[in-house]
Amino acid sequence: MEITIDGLTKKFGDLVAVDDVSFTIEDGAFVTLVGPSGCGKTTTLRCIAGLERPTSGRILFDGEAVTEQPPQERDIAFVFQDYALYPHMTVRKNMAFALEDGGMSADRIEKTVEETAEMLGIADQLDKRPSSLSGGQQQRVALGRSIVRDPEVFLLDEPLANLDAKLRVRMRTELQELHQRLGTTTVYVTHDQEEALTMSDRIAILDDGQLQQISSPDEAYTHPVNEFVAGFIGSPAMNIVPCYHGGDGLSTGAFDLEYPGNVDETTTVRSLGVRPEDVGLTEPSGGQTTAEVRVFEHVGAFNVVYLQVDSHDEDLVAQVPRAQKLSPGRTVGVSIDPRDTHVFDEKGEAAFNPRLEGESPLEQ
Amino acid sequence: MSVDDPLPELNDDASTSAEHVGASSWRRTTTFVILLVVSIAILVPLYWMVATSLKPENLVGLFPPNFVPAKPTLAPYLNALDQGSWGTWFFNTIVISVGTTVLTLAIALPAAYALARKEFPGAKPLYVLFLGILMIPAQILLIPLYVLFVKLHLVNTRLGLMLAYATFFLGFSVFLLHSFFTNLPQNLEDAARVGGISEWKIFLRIVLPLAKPGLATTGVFLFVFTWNEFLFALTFLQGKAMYTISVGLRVFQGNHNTVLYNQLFAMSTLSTIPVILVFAYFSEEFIQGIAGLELQ
Repeated sequence: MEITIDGLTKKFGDLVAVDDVSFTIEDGAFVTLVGPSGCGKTTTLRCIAGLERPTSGRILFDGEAVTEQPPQERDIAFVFQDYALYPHMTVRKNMAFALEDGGMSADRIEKTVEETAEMLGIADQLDKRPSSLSGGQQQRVALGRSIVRDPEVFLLDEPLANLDAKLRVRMRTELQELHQRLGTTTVYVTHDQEEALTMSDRIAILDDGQLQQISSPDEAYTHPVNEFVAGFIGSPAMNIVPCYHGGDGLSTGAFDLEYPGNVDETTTVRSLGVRPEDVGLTEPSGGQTTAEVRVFEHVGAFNVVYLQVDSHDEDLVAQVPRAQKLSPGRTVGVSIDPRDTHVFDEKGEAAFNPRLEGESPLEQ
Repeated sequence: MSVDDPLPELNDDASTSAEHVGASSWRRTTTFVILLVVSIAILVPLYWMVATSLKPENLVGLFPPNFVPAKPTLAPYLNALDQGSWGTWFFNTIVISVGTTVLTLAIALPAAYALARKEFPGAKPLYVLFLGILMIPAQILLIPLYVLFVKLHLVNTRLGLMLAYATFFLGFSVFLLHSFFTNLPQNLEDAARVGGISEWKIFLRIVLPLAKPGLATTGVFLFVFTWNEFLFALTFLQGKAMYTISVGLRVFQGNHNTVLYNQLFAMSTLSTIPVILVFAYFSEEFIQGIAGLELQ
């Protein structure tokens, strides 16, 4: 089912939770709404579900307006962050409850529930109450309760937020597999940009009730439309420092760089961004400037270095290969290739993104 | 950083936790003392009632009082039973108490749920109005209700008294149930809603089972209030055949302000038994309900 959100606005009293948001989710797509808390992502999801009534704007399913329809008539499934399992019913009953009125025979309900439980690995938990299950199992029951209904749309509101880190990563993969198997249109809400980047076909980034960008995760990473998206997407986050016209190009104080791409002296500039993996570290003599290593973090696949640029009190974060180890206090040379930078104009909109072929970090 | 640095911190921690332990044990003692005093205040009159009900006439009202009946006897019970139509009055009381509880809950439940969960114009003023009913003293409500019930031929009927009680207890019941419904997680209802479940089925199969402690608490309150109620019963029930126990107990009041205390207390003891049974049966839900209210 294709979902169109057209000029959606939702106010709670004076608070504008969602501010004129429009986008389309293609049939069968996995789209993630991501943003900091209070950005309006959950409210948008609840409007799609019919649990909130939009102040203005429309929601269309396959071109048909459903804005006025109660949730009961929308053929959707919603997984809540706290799972919202019925505590007074067994797992079996939780999963079967919504099927009872659908005209399905008791035998078929039983079979559907058992098959789904089997698929999710909770077949031996069917006669237990939700309170006696672990967080991960409850999560599966919540998913199972949605899946058995074979809905047209899955709406998931931070479903992994209450799980421990390891389980979260595993469930992430399971959810993707599930989506590939069922092919149901899925809208997923998270505040975790990593989840958004890894799971979705497309991500919609919201801030302060407004849609900032909707694109593929790769594009959001390599080609953020504004400073907010640039800073929000990616971990460790992009280095964003104020910049101005200086020398024969852009200057941040510590770095003087040539104008990248089509940026020139007529461009109004506010800040310059560079991804940690694009910060080059060398021997002190080899860089554009020198910096002191303040903190060195082993992340696993790579290391993260927190630097303080000696001359200008600027903090920078760099990402280096696992093999490269630097102890705190050590002085290193730092260089930045202007072609790897992101330039933001006075409104914070992207004036330049390094989108040259073969150079975007995710395509290497 | 010197090696000594962590030590003061450790000491700090130790003293804080010692203070903490001290504070919590002091608190526990205070709680215990308060509970003890309250329990004594409740149990002593109960004990006195039962003790007196077992004393022969001539040993009642002695000074100094004898706390343990010297020669316990069941005579006051047997004599008391001859004094009135207790069977009928018990029956009336049970019918009226159960009827009032069911009737009030049947009206208050949907009202409280709608006020707690549904958005409709005037919901807030309506809720305030229900709270307003709570503040009207029974004596003030009594006169207009009586006048109205005379016109409706409801005076001296069980139904009439039930309706009067329901009117009086409605505000309280809506208020109590409203706070239980507000405390239930909204997500459970929403989960059912997106699952395609109708609003009625959500109310009956999700909300009501989860509100059981609240339901039991309100129900027990209603039952006990009604069972013990005197003023309304005395006003609305005029024929002896319609009496409830609380009105019936007046038979032990003699013409010259003499009261047969041992017989009065014997019947009082008997009439307390159903209340204790109801409370015992619902005690688990009742305590859960009260604890749930406290969390707000």
